[in-house]
Amino acid sequence: MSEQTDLTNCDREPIHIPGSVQPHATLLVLQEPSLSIMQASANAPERLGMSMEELLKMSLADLLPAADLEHLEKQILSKQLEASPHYLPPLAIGKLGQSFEVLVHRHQGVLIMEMELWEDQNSMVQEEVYTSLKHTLNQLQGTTSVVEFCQRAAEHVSKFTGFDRIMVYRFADDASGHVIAEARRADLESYLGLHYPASDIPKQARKLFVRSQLRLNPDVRYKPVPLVPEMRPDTAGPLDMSYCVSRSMSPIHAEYLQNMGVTASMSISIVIGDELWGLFACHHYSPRYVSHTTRMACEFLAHMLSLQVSSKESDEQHEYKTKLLHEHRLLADAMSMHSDFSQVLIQSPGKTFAGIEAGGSALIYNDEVHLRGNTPEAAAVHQLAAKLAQETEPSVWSTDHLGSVVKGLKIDSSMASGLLAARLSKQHPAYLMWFRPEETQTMKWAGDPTKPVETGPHGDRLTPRKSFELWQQEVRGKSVPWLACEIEAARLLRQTILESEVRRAEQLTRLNIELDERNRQLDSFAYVASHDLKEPLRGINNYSNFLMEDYAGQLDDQGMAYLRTMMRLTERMETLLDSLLYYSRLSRAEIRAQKVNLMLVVEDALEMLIARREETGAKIVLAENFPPVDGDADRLSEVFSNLISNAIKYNDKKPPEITLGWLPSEDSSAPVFYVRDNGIGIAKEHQQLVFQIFKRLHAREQYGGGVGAGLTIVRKIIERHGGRIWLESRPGQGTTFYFTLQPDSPNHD
Amino acid sequence: MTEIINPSFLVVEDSDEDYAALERILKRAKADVPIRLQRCTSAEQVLDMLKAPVLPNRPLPPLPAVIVLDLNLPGVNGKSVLLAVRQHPRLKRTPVVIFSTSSSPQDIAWCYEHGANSYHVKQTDYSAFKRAVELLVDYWVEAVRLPLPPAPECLLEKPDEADPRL
Repeated sequence: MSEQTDLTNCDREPIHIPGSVQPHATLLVLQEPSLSIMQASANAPERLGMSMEELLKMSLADLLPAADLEHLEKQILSKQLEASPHYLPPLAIGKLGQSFEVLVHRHQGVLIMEMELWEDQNSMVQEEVYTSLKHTLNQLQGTTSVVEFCQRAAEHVSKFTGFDRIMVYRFADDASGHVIAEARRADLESYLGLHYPASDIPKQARKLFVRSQLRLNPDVRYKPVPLVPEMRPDTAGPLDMSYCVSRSMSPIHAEYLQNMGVTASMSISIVIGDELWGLFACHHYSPRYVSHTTRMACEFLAHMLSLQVSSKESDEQHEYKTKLLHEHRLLADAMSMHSDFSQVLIQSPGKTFAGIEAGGSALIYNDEVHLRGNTPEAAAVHQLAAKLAQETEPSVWSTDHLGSVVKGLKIDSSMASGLLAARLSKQHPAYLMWFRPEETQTMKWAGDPTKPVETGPHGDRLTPRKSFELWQQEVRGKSVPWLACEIEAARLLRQTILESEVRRAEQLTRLNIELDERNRQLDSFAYVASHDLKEPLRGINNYSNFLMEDYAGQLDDQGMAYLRTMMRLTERMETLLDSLLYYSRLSRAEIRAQKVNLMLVVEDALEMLIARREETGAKIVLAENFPPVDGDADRLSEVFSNLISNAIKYNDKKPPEITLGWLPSEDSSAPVFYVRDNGIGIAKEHQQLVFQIFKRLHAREQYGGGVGAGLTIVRKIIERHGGRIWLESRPGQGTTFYFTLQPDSPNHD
Repeated sequence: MTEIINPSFLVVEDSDEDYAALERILKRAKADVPIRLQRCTSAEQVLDMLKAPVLPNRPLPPLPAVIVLDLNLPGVNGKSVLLAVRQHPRLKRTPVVIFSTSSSPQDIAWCYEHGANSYHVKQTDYSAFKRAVELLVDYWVEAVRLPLPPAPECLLEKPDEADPRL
């Protein structure tokens, strides 16, 4: 390989066809069914005791005892050997009679046989390995988290193999690696928690990791042993060594390991489905060979781990999902009982809303921002909400690199690199948000990050520390990605909030309908009741009259006075009933609105009051021009005559002075009319009472009497026109009644 | 001015006190003209009367000159009486005068719409009430000429559908 190979081109390095093997192994490429030798590694003659020329003319039958060959053909070669090397028991192969541990597999139409000298004869103590493996598996069953599980496994692999350091990498979705578990020699620095950029393990290496679960490099400083001939004689192409355990390693990888000071390495893939989930990376700081049997055990362990991790991980996810669901249910229950969802959210416990794991949360609603946990400033959140409302369509939106997706934000990425946002309104920027910090902020350091870079044999490139710095550069402004279940939880919460709002609106509508119905019933009740009350009243009055007509001569003055009082009382009661009737009729009658000249209306009212005006000498000042209004002229005349008559009635000045006028509105909403007097005024505490029906503030005969319905009727008429009435008053100095005749413009209120 | 001998009034009124007042005022209004008064206290009574068959050898109920109708009746409303009277072949021309507590413009409009001849609001004020009744007598007994009663003078006739028992 070229010396210029670096991080950028190692993605293209054809590492599956190195054309060489590692020196601890000898490789034979055999043609089936003859088992004739097509290619052999250059170290084969020396290990087997014959020349390369001889070898390439032979078949495997010439190298094996007949019994072994028969066993091999019957028991092994008859099997599916594609894509997965098969371990054979030690075999004596070749003229020298040496024992080899053998791996065979078929790939692309040839049988590939890797042979390693069986130097450590003790490694055949299989029972011990089996017992240890069984013990290991039992222990793994008892762990609760994936990390703990991997930690245990790392410790066991360490015990099996004797490597100085065993790390378990976990690959993230973006292919970057993260050391989640580690077993190491006590004097070594820990790499636990370190992240590595995706480029540390190039794509094609990743692919090979999926294909062959175990790879061993007993000494990274080895000299590769080439294949002879270099190309396959049948295809004239290179031999695909994807599944070869002893395949010569990439020089870049070898350099990488040497930079770390590593002499021997072994990797065992953890594959879930077809995905590379993680890796056992075993490092040794001197050459280290691992026997077949142990490797088999490790491979088996990794396989078990793959199965276990997958279920453990879904258990962990399940636990989180259950927690999210539980939190959601609590919020949903509270929202169904509370009329305001935002209060429920604001008062809910936890570091963020709805149990979604994040640095902080925000609720932006009705132009208010509620923050929780670590979040950007309220102003920045406001800006973010406004931008999202403009730029993003989906109702639930998430990103793990906010800064580069939404431009022009004044948001601290260390606080908010990740954003999960659920929109609550299409009209206003209303959102639920969860913020995630930059990933480098969340990383756990195991060693001292300020420790100087260790320089490897090829300069200081690609030492672990350097790797970390590279990684840091790569993840600037990025957060841990959002999980599907978290996005789902946000969606669910949004749904619940919107539903509770709809429910609330429906409830309001229903209550309004009920209220209308009750008002209607109350009105007709007043109507019917007053009719029924009038009948006995009439009876009392009539019979009193009969008495007076028929028995006047027999009654003395006192008796006659009693009778007259009785009749006066019935008449008074009739007036009350008439007012009530009139009031209830006002609620139901249509207001016949048309363009009305208020000047004429006021004149009409003043004419009706002519007797009282003359009697009191009241001075009336009129505005020059009243603006035209839409309304019912007769009813409006009633309003003015009632207000003017009150102004005259509740007045101790001589003469009473009454001003009628109007104020132009400040902002194109309704003009405000007023009737001002210099009368007795109304005490603050009575100012609302005056509008209540039959509520009197003065003794019956004081200020000319009256039943106390006038202002109630006035208010009803004004309200029927869509306006409102209020007053300002200073006791002893006078009162001003103000009113409008149309609804206030919405932005006014 | 042609006077009708023995003018008769059918008063539909459930309130005893109101009826007493009406009777008193009517009787005193024209002491010289004896006014025959007939009273029903519910709409059902009137409706039954209207449907009742004419029985042979029985004195026929006298034909009222005027019907005085209260609207607020127990059970079936006075308005039904007005409708029934106006559909009755013999009574459809008889003046119906409404005497009601209701001053509702809708009630008033409805009654005229359906053939009432006049509408009076019952006053609690005795003298106003008295004046209204006196005007009623003056007008319907003295001022106007009413249609002649159909001969034979009967208020009611056999209904269109014969009673199977007869």
